Amino acid sequence: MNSPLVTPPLFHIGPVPVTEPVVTTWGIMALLVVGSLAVSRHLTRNVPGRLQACLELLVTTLDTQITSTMRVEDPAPYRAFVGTLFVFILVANWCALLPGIAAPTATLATDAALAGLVFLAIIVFGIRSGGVGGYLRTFLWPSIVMVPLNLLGTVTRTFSLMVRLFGNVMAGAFVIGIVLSLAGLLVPIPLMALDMLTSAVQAYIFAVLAMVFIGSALSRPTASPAASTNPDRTGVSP
Amino acid sequence: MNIDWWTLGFQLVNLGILIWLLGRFFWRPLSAIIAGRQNDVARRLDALAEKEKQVEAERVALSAARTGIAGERAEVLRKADVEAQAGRVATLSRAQQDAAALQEATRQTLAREETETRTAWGDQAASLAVDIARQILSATGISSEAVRDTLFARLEQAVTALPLRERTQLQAGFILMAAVAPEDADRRKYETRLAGILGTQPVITWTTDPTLIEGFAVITPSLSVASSWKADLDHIRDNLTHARS
Repeated sequence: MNSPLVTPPLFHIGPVPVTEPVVTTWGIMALLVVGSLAVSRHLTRNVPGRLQACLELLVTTLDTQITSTMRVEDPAPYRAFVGTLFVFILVANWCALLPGIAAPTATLATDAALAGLVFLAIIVFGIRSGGVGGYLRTFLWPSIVMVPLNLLGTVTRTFSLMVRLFGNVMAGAFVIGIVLSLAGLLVPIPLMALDMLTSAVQAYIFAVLAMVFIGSALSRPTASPAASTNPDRTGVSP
Repeated sequence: MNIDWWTLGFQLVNLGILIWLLGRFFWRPLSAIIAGRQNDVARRLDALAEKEKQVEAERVALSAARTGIAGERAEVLRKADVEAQAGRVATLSRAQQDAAALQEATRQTLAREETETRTAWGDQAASLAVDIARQILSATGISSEAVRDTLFARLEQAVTALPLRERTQLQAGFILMAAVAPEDADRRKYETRLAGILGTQPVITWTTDPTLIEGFAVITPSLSVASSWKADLDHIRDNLTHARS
C-alpha cells in the first residue's frame, strides 16, 4: 500500500507532474460546470421543477447559514465562495464511492489548497470589509497582548482546517479499504453509507468554519470583532 | 508530512476557477431567480394590499351610499305618504264641496220647482175657483155689478173697522185698486161712499189689478185693506194650511 501522503503522478505536462487528485478535480469541475450550465438554462421564475426547487432550497439554506453565522445582512459576496467549497468537498468526498476513483480531498495537497483558499479569503474579505487597518485591528482583540496569539491562531486554524478534512476523509477511505481487503465485497457497504454521512458532515463543517473564520475578520463598528465570531465559541468541533 | 507543491498549486488554481465558474453559472442565476421571484411576490403583495385598500374604500363608499339610499328611500316614502295624505284630504274636501254644491243646487232646484209648482197649482186653483164662482154666480143669476157692490160694501165695513189713527192716514189719500176698471159713474159712486165713511174727500188714485179676480183693495205705504176674491182665496188657503199643520 502506498503512503496516503504521497501522490504519484499520472502523467507529466512538460516538467509538471499531473497527479490523480488533479485529474479527478478536473472531472468534478467539468461535471459541476456542465451541470450548472444545464440547470441555469432551464431556470424559470414561475413554477420551478423539482430539481430547481431543490437547488433554490440549497441557495436559500446557504444564505440563511451565511447571514446567521457571519452576521451579515447581504450573503451575496460570500455565497459563491462558501457554497462552492461546500459543493466541491461534498462531491469530492462522495466520488470516492465510485469504483476506481479516489477522493481528491483524501490527499493533503487538495485539503491544503482548500485551507489556503480560506486563508486568502479571510484576508481578502477582511480588507474589503474594513480596509487594511480594520483588518489588522481584528488582531488586537481583546488586547494588544493577544496579537501574537491571534496571529498564531490564524495560521493554526487554517492548518486545523486542512488536517481535519484530510484526517476524516483519509480515515474513511482507509477503513473501507481495510475492511474490504479483510471481509469481502459487500461487508464495507454499511461503512460506505456511514462514510457518505461523514463526508457530508465534513463538508458542512468545513463550510461553516470557513464562514466563521471569514466572519471573524469582518469589521463591525457596533460590536467587538471576535466577540460574536470567535471560532472557539461556535460549538463546532473537529 | 510531504506535500506535492505542484498538486497544491494545481488545486489552488482549479478551485479558484471552479469558484469563479460556479459563481457565474450557478449561484448567480439561481440567486437572481430567487430574488426576482421574491420581488414578484413582494410586488404582488403590494398590489394586493393596494387592491385591498381600494376594495375597503369601495366597500365603505358602498356602505355609505347604501345608507344614503335607505335614507333617501325613507324620505321619498315619507314625502309620498304626506302627498298621498294631502291628496286624499284635498280629494275628500273637493268631493265634500262638490257634494254640498250639488246638494245645494238640488235643494234650490227642488225649492224652485216646488215654488213654481205651487204657483202653477195656485194659479190653476184660483182660475178654477174663479170659474167655479162665476158659474155659481151665473147659475144663481147674480150680476157682476151686484158682486162688485157686495165686495165694495165689505171694503167699506173693513175701512170702518179700522182704528182711528189709520183712518186718519187714509184721509190724506190712498190707492184704490180694482180688478176691473169701473166706469166713471161707478168710480164717483165708490169715492163718495168712501168719503162718507172717512168724513172727508181723500185723494184717490185708481189702479187696476186683474189678479184680484174681483173686488177692491185700499193701499197706502203702511196699510193694505182688501176685499176681493183673491184675498178670500188667500184667507181660505191659510185656513186650510193651518188646519193641516
